[in-house]
Amino acid sequence: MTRYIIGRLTGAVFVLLCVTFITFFLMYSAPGGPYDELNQPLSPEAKANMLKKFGLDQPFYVNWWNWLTKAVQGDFGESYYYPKTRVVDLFFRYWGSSVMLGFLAVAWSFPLGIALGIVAALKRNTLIDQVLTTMSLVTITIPQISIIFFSIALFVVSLKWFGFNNGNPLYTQPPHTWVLPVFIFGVGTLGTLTRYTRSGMLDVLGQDYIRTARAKGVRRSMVILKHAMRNMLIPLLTIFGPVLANAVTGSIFVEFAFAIPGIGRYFLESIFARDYPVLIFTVIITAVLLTVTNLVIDIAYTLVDPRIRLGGAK
Amino acid sequence: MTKQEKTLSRRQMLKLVGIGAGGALLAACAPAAPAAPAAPAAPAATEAPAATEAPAATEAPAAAAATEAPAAAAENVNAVGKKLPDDAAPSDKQIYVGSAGQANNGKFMDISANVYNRGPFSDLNAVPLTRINKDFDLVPGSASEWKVDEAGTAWTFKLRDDLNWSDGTPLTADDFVATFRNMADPKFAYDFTWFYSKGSGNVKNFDEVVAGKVPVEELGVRKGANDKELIIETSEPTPYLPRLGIFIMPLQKKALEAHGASYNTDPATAVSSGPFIVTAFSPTRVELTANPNVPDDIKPYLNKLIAVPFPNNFQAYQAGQIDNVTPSNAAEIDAVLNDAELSKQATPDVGDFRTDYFFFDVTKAPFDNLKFRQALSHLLDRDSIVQFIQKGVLARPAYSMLAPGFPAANGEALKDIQKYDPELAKQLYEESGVKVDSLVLQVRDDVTFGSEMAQAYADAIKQNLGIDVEVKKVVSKDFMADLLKKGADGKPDTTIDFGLISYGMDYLDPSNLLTVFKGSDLGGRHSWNNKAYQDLLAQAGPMTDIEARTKLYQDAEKLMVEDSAFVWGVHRTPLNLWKPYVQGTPMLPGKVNTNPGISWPALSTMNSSIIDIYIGNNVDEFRKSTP
Repeated sequence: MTRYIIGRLTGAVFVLLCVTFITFFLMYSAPGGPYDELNQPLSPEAKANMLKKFGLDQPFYVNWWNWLTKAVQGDFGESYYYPKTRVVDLFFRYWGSSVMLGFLAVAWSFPLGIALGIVAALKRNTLIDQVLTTMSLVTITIPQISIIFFSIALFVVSLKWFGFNNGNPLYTQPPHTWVLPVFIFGVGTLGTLTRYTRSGMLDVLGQDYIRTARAKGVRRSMVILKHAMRNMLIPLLTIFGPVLANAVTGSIFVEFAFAIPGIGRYFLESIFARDYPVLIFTVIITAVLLTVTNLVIDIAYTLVDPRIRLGGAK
Repeated sequence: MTKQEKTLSRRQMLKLVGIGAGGALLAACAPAAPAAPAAPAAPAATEAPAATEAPAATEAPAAAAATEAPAAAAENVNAVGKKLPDDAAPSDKQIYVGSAGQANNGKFMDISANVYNRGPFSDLNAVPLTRINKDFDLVPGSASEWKVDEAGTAWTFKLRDDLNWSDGTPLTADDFVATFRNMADPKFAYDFTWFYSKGSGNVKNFDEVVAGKVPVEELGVRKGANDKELIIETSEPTPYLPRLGIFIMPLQKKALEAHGASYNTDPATAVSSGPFIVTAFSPTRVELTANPNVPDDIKPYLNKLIAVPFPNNFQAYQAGQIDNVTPSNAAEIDAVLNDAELSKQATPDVGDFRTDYFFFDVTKAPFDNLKFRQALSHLLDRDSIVQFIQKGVLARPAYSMLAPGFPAANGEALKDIQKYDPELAKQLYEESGVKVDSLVLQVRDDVTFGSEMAQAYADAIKQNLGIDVEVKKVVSKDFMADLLKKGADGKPDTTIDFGLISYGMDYLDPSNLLTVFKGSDLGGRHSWNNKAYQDLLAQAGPMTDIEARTKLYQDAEKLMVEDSAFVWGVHRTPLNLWKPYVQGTPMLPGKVNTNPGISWPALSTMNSSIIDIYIGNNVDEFRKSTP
């Protein structure tokens, strides 16, 4: 196990290096730059000074190497767009809102999705099953942006039940500013979970040991909760990893639409503003979270199912 | 009763829990119950507009208009000790909320530090040298009086004795001198230097300092006989200099030297001699708080200003989260016009006297032919454009550059020169001898309904002259780069032969808007270089006899309209929506803006709007919660 973890971590470092290199390549390949002003272009001399000051007159791989040598020492630089602000400070200023949004979305959608999936499986081929299956299909297939537009038009603008964020961290705000985005952010997860759980549960319920347990007189609820659920955890864990990583790195659309000061929104703005230090830091944090979450999930597999051995261990 | 009836079944239990949880959630989301409205008050004295006359440039200011209501039974006083009008909401609700666009990208908070990268609610940290009232008349600002010498080139501004910075230091001429030196300093690279350059502000040695040819100490801005006397020298008589004064807002010399020109983006270093001071500044929220250290006539009714970025301002306004919005597209404007409540809150105003106009490159065929240009000028159906494209409220027909209400405006007298007359157009086209099959009309993409106007014009040209006109929308940045492109010989080298563009005022003087058409030979953006027009402008610029000067500008404008290098489209009247609880004298109709609503430049210290508006006691009917 230890060897496996070390191996995975070593691989993760290589992956992160590749991610940063490719990101630098893409950033510098895109037309425009951080000092291309629309309204009042800088004079050629002033622009040249700014580019020199930030090393932007160098090829991308030189900048990548310079960035990397500082990053390994914990220095991720300052934002181009918000002068005098360290990228790390900027990130953590907004991360709290994203984490709250993500955790609350997962907190309601994950258990509810599992519960609805179980209900659908238990009520297989009934009206309830059809309704739940259709609901999950709809929530998965309708683009999140459409749900956002519709929800804002109906619940925020027309009915005024909910509102936009007012620029302060989400955790300091009244519920009417975050309930709707939390709901929308979780809708996709809800649909996915319902479908996964339903199909997983149907597979498990058809197994011999379930029939045996029932034949031995074990109560149906016990069979489901103790026997069926445990065997369903593997596929659920597979989903849980990316869902959690996605949740805590924010949602670009939800945060932007509801004016939530979160990481997803600033990632988008850093792209438009060509704020390279913010962009690369956000990318690397997301990559780290995904890598670590996947590793944790892999380890969790062994706890859930002792038959699984990592790294080819016998 | 059986046992089964007494105990709750599992299903009943789940149902009750579900209902309870749902109820709790709804209760949590429900907006706070509005407080009971205050008892209706008698009309406040502030609702009667004070008659204000434009003072002569050398006159002392009139006494401040009485703005306070008669003594009320219970004093409603705001956080800086200013008595609120009788119909105002309590002090804790004197908060105005605006939008910061999609994000607060501001790097400065003062127009004297930067123009194009300012944050929301900028320019409230000082009182400009001069101000304008609601009717655009010039009134004193931080200068209580001013005079010019006999040569007309040395202006002496007497600063108010009672204006101090929030850190207790007095506002002095040194602050203005330091501000000007910073603007001209090539190392700082101010982004609006043209404003004080030759041809506009004419500040002595400004161009030379910007070019690094002369040290900043030789700039024509200096302290006079004492700390409260500021002298601005110009390279030639510039009678409209006091009008430029609405943009001349001082930075504090001490803060400028210690922290640089962006000191007001950090509450720790912010300092103000204006009605507000920055107390929070981040990409997601900007807050300004009323400055207690200013004289009573500068103290605002509002305690706080908050700016928050929203992805869609119009939706934020509809949701009750901001107090003012300008609809930005056809869908939003339709939504306003089709909604009874929003329509009541909407008021078009003259904005910045912006005019949308078509132009020709008169150096190239077929536009070098006067009769052909005149033929085209008679094919723009302005009335239909205003009625059907500009929805009847977003613009007025334009017959010249200067919109009604602007100094020297003379559109009505010039109305017939380019009137819509297809038959006359056909005749002129015949007489021109021009034979052309197709034209390309390029539209700068920031012109409101520009493509639609251009298409209507193109259709009229096709229908009446048989010429195909391709309408091409071009991104503003690319459009301007093309328009201003110069060849190796320094002559214009643009591909835009026929275009649609707009221009709005920077300051209230005909020289500002008419200089735009001075021609490329003199550094202008259009290829129309008319010697007679250039001479009239040069003659009028330094004149101090206002009547004679106005006449010269009107002659110049008439000449320009007759030469048809430009076809005047519409004068924009942007539609603004204000929540009904935004009240005060700035909201009342005026002589130029005859609709209710705050005139250009909206909430600002260039006029007194930011000082005189307040939140009315009907706020709870509209505002969901205190921001």
